[in-house]
Amino acid sequence: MQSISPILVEVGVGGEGDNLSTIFQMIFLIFFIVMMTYGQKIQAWIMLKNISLSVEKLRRMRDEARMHAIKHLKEYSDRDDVEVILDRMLQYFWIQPTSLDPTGIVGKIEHILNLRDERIREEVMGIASKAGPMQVSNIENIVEIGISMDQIYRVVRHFYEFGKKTKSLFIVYQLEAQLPFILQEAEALMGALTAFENCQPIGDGAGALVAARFMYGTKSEKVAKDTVYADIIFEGRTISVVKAEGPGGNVGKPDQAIARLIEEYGRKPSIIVMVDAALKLEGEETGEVAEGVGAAIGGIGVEKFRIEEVAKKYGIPLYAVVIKQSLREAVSPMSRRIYDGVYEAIERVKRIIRERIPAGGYGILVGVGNTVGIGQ
Amino acid sequence: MGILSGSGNKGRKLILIVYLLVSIVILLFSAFFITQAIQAYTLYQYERGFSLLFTGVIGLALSLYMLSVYMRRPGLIRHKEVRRMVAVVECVSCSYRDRRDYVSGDYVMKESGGCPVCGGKTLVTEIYPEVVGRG
Repeated sequence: MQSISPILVEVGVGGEGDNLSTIFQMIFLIFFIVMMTYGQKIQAWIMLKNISLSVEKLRRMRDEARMHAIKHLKEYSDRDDVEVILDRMLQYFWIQPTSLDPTGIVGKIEHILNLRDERIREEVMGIASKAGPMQVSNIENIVEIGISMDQIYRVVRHFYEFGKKTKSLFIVYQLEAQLPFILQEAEALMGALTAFENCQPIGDGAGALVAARFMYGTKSEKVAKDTVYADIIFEGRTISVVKAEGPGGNVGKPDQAIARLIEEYGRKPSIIVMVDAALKLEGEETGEVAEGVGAAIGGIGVEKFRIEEVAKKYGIPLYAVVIKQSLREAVSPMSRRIYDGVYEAIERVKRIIRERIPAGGYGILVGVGNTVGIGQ
Repeated sequence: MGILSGSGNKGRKLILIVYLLVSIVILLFSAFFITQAIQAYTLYQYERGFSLLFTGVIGLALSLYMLSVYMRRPGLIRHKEVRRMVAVVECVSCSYRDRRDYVSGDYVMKESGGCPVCGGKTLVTEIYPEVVGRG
């Protein structure tokens, strides 16, 4: 090391008043001018290079989801054109009704969403003709994941290509700011693939599991599409427990079930208790249970609207119990901590029933969520 | 698409090797310049020390950035948690509880044969992933 110092000085590096300092001054000057003129474009270029890694990751995830869907469709199919039909299905979209005249928009959204669901189910049944109802539900969910992954990839690629074309720092900034959330959602969806393939319960099914545990030992009956209910007696009170029909991947129609029980079956509940999985905030523990009032149900809002309408019409109090988890946990195989949350939620529901329904009274308990891997 | 995502597999491998070698060479040179700078400072040669330190730090930052891009390259196999699915079986009549490997076809609330303690019905009450190591 010591012997190399004179050589460095000889070539002008590190000597007193050396050439290197002059070179650095020049470099700084050039750097300053370049950054003044092309700073934004360079910054956008560097960010685009980072974004391109995420776009590539999303492309690989999309392809993997597609391969899973093909594998499962082929398992129950004799057809040769599975890939062609699947590629067509992956680009299915639905057009939201106009909100220029918002009266009756919920019914319109419901109609279009039902149509979309029916179409996908019919297509899946058409391809996987050898699959039973449970397999059809699970394959339908796998195809839905494929559709979501395809859409995520296409939208991110659109903004990436647009940012590349325009070199606009503002477009690139927006995309980069959104990417962690988008990637988190994509990874969560990929985690759900395994669960649906093997028919294992996912975190979102926490509400359905609460209902299933209440239901056990009684005969359940179909009350709406993919939805069952059972009347149980709990400490002298009659409770209609509602959940999606398992163990296939269904979310059911809890809104239709509640409406039917009240309006068609003539039941008069003192309360409706809804149990669902809820997204936790960063810092909150998985499996934490919280109580509140209102309709505990996610989605676009159609079912929530219907439940609120019925509850308002008949003046029925709506109680909510939620089991907290992250987005990733909600669509991944149910973790041990969520089971603890389920047991805690069961105790909370029992307490609400004791406090809010008089002995000899009647109430409705709804376990909301995807019931994949959960029977009744 | 990315800096390190070439199209051909063979070509991509060559790019990766050259990229990694360049990053390491810059890192080694930077380390050398920094040690020289420390030596210069101990000999009170501040101007020489500053030039060497400056070159070293710039080189170090560049090489670390290049290495971080290399580590985040697409297609890199990362060691993930190895998980296995387990199923908990409970008796509905007594306090019997057992944990076993998940078997295809299991689902929660599925009846799972007789209880070895009291002969009553058993149910699969939990199915969840358990971390068994890293692979």
